[in-house]
Amino acid sequence: MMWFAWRQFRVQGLVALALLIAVGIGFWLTGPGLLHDYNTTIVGCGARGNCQGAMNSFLSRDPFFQNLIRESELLAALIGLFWGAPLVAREFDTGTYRLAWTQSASRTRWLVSKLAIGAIATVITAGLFTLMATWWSSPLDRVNDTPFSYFDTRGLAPIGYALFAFALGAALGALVRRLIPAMVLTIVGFAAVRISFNQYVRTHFAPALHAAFAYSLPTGTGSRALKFGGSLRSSDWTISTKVMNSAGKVFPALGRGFGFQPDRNGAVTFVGAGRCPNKIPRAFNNGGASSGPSKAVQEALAKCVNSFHLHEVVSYQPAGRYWSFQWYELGSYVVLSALLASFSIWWIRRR
Amino acid sequence: MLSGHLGDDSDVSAVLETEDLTKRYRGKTALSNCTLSVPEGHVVGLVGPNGSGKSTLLNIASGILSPTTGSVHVFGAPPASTPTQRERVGFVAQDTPVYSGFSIKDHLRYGHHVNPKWDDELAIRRIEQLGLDLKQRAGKLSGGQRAQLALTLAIAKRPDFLLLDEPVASLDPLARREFLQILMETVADHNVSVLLSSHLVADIERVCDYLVVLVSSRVQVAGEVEDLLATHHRLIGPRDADLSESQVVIESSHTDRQSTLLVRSDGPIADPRWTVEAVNLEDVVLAYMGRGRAERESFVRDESA
Repeated sequence: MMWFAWRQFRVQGLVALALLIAVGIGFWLTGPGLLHDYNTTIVGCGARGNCQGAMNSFLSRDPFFQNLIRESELLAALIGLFWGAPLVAREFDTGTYRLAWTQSASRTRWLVSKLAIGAIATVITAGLFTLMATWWSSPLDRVNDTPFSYFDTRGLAPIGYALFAFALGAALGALVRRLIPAMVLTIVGFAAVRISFNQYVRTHFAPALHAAFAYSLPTGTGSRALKFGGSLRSSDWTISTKVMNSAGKVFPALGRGFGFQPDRNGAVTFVGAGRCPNKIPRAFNNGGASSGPSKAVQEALAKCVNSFHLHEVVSYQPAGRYWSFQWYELGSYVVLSALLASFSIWWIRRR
Repeated sequence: MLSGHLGDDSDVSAVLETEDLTKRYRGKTALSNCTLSVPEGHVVGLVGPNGSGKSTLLNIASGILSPTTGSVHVFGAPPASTPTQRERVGFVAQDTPVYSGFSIKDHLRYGHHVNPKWDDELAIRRIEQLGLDLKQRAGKLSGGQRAQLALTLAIAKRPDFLLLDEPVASLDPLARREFLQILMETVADHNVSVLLSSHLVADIERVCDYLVVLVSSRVQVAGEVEDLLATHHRLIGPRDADLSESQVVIESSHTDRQSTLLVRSDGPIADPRWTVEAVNLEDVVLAYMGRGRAERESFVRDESA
């Protein structure tokens, strides 16, 4: 029966192998150049004093392959579409299930061997592609030091996605028994699960850590960037930021910039928080077009902001959890795939 | 037991027995309360109009579909319930599906892998007889060749009971004759019971020695072809002539002065007022199909009244 499943899968498998080889040659030809550039332009850039410029131009190298890797989530979707959905649905479309189900070997064995061959091919294909992508990208990833930004396309997670897409396609094919509807549902279902999983599940693999920063008016211009400090580093995965006062009250309107609104009586409101308790010099009113608020005004506004005792709380997952999260992600999708495969087998048996 | 059953088959064991078999899917009833028995050692023709439930019945008997209610037994056990059960039954599905990407050789290899009793020699001999190339892809075969390949797969499995669902429906007359020819040879060589569905009486007449007429899931008549032909007669006589108790009218048509009847009669017809003519199988089948349809229509009228 395994021979049969392999024979059926052969053409699809060879197409995948050819594509993998083509991509592999591309990586093999461009990878060493990328590493060479890293060693010559990035290593020691501090001494030459042009690190930012060097990094920016390095990160825009080989856009074709960078995009290919970024879009490699499509690989899983394609596996779901062209390996998963047709696995059972095509046999219904062509009627060959009636040939397969009336042999001495049971239809359970028929489906199990088809699922097994497809799953093995999926793991090999996704695994090889991700391995090559991870290797090829490693110089870029050393520069772009935020591992969670490329979490979905490196390491172990993509193997889980591909396996899940395959199992989802197979299950939907068994359920709706027609190829085209099964393919459409596979794409929709895969996207829905991936998006909601990213949003609601991955962030909870481990309790998020929190870092708090005083929320005060910066000197100079009115804009402010998130500060890193204490335990929070730029490589960590920032999940959310909230501005709250010492009593724990959250100010949802605050967080991006600072707005002040004077009223007719000369009082000033700190937009999103409340009325300033202190007096703001009148010069504030006719600022704007001139060279900006005077020093006295700035100090008064800063005092107003401080009077609310605000701080900004950042929830984050530290970069050090990257690999444990990769394992959790893989594990979750493998479990989902196993459930879908069990469902398909149960569904085909009960007819 | 069986409506319209002829002869005494109680000492012959049944390969297929169903009781009140019903299959509903997607809100439609494909087969309702079908009770029938197929004796062992015959080539049984299952005839009926489209939609009579023939295909559903065969799909249930082969284990592809499971019934909604009722019971079905093949060799005394539910279809496809055990490995032995599956080994003993061969099936040629409607439209004779094969894997279009596989070569003929691949199909034989497949058969070998999934059937413990697979007869390699028989399969290859059959393909050679047909003049087919083992390397030929099944997708490029003609309809007749594809049907022959499907039949080869079912035969080389060496089943004790072979089910065929309208196997020749889409074939041209020549391919049809060849297919049935090979089927007959197999039956003769391997002592296999056959159940063949068709809506073409000519095909049934050529190969079957036992006939079941199914209309709207009901068996109208079942019996050996020889018996059916011996016990059915066409009678032509005056309009007011009557019949004895033992004669059952299956079909009748009347003019002002004359009646033409198709009757079943176990004994000879002695009444001199009747002119007795022999009937052929098609006459019998059509008469029972017509009766089945009339019964169904009156049933529908009663329901709606």
